[in-house]
Amino acid sequence: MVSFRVSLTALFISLPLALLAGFALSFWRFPGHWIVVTLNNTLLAIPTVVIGLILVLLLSRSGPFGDLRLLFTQPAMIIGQILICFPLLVAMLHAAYQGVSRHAWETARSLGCSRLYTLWLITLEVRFAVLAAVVMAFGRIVAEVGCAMMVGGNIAGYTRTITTSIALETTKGEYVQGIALGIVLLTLALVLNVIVGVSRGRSIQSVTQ
Amino acid sequence: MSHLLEAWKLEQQFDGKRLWQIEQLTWRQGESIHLVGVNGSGKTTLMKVLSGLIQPTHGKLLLDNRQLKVGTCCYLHQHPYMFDKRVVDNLRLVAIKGVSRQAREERIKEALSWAGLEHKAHQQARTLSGGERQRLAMARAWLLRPAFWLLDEPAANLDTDAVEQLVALIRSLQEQGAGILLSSHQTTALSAICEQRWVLSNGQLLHY
Ligand SMILES: Nc1ncnc2c1ncn2[C@@H]1O[C@H](COP(=O)(O)OP(=O)(O)O)[C@@H](O)[C@H]1O
Ligand SMILES: [Mg+2]
Repeated sequence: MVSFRVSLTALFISLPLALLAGFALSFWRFPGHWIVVTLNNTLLAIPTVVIGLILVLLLSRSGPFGDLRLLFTQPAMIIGQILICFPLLVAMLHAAYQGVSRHAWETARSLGCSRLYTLWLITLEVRFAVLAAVVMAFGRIVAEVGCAMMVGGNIAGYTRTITTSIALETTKGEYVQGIALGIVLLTLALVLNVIVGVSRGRSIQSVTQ
Repeated sequence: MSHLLEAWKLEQQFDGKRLWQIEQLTWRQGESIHLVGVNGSGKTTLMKVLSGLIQPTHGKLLLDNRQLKVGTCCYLHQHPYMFDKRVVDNLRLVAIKGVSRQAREERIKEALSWAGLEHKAHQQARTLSGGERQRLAMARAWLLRPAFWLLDEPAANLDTDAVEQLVALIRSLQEQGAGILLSSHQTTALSAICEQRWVLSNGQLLHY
C-alpha cells in the first residue's frame, strides 16, 4: 500500500538522524543549543500544507529543483513526510534522552564502549519512549493529507494514500467508502498503541517480579 | 609491570572559578590512597579528571609517560549507574577487547562469583540493594582489569555488612596489585585499608 510504503520509508530515513540529533541535544551542551531547540519547535508547529506549499515551489518545473522531476511522485511525498516527522521525532527523542542520567554515558564510556555503542545502550534505556515517538511520528505522517495531496497529486495507484482517497471520496459524496478507509486508519492507530502499551506493561511486570 | 600515573599543574575551574589547583601528583600502581575532603571540595571532579572522564582546565596527566587511555583508570560513581537490564547483561555490555566469546562468558562468570553475585545473575540490576549495586559496578570494571581504581564514596549509605563485603573486594584488588583511590567526606571503616591519605582542602591537595 502506498500509504505504508511512503510513510515507513520516510520514518526509517528520519529515525537514525533524529536519534543522533535528540541524543546530541540532551547530552551535549554546545553554543547555540537553545537556538536549535527553538528552531526545531518552530518547524514542529508549521502546518503540513505550508510544508507542501514550500515543496511544490521547490520541486515544480520552474522551481530550483524542477529538473529532478520529483513533483507528483512518491519520492516527493517521502521528502514531505520526512520534513513533517523529523522535528517531531527530534523533540520526542530529546525529551526521552533527557530522562537518562549523564552517569550512563560516563559508565559505558569508562567500560570501554565506543561512542556509537554507548548511544545504542542509552537508546535501549529509553526504548519505550523511543517506541512511543516512532508510533507517534508514524501516526502523524500516515494520517496527514495536506502535504501528501499537494506534492503527491493523488494519482490513483501511485500517489494516492488512504487519507487523500478519503478526501476524494468525500468530495464525490461517497461517504461509505470514506468511512471504511477511516476505520482502516483508526484500526491501525489502535493496533500500534496496543503494541506500545503491551510492551511497556511487560517491562513494568518484569521489573516488579 | 607496575604503572605510574602522574599529573603536573592540574587546575580545575568551573565558570571561571577555581575549584582546586594541584602542583604535582604521583600515584603508583599498588598504592592505596584515601582521599578526604568536605562535600564540595572537588573530590569527585578530581577523580573524574584522573580517570580521564573529564578534561582539566589546565595541566598535564600522564600514564607511564603517555596519554591516558580508556580502561586503565576506572572511575566508579558514588551511586553506580545500573543499566535497565539483568545483572549478567550489565556485565555483557563491557567492551572486553581481544577475547573470544567463550572466554568472555567465562570471565563474566568469574566476575559474578568474585563479587558474590552468582545467585543474582538473572535478576534485574535495578532491583539490587545498595551494596549489591556497588559490587556489580566493581565486577563490571573488573572485567577490564584496570590498573587504577577510583572509587567515589563507595561506602556512603551502606550498612555494616555491605561495607564488610566491599572491604573484602577492595582487599582482593589490593592483592591483585591494583592502585586504589577511594574518597569520603569523613573517616570511615575504609580509611583503615589505605596506607596513604590525600586531603583536599581549600583548593589544595595535601599528602600524608
Ligand atoms: N560540571 C560542573 N559545572 C559547574 N560546577 C561544577 C561542575 N561539576 C562540579 N561542580 C562544582 O564543583 C564543586 C565540587 O564538586 P565535587 O567535585 O562533586 O565535590 P565533592 O565530590 O568533593 O563533593 C561543587 O561546588 C560543584 O558545584
Ligand atoms: Mg562527590
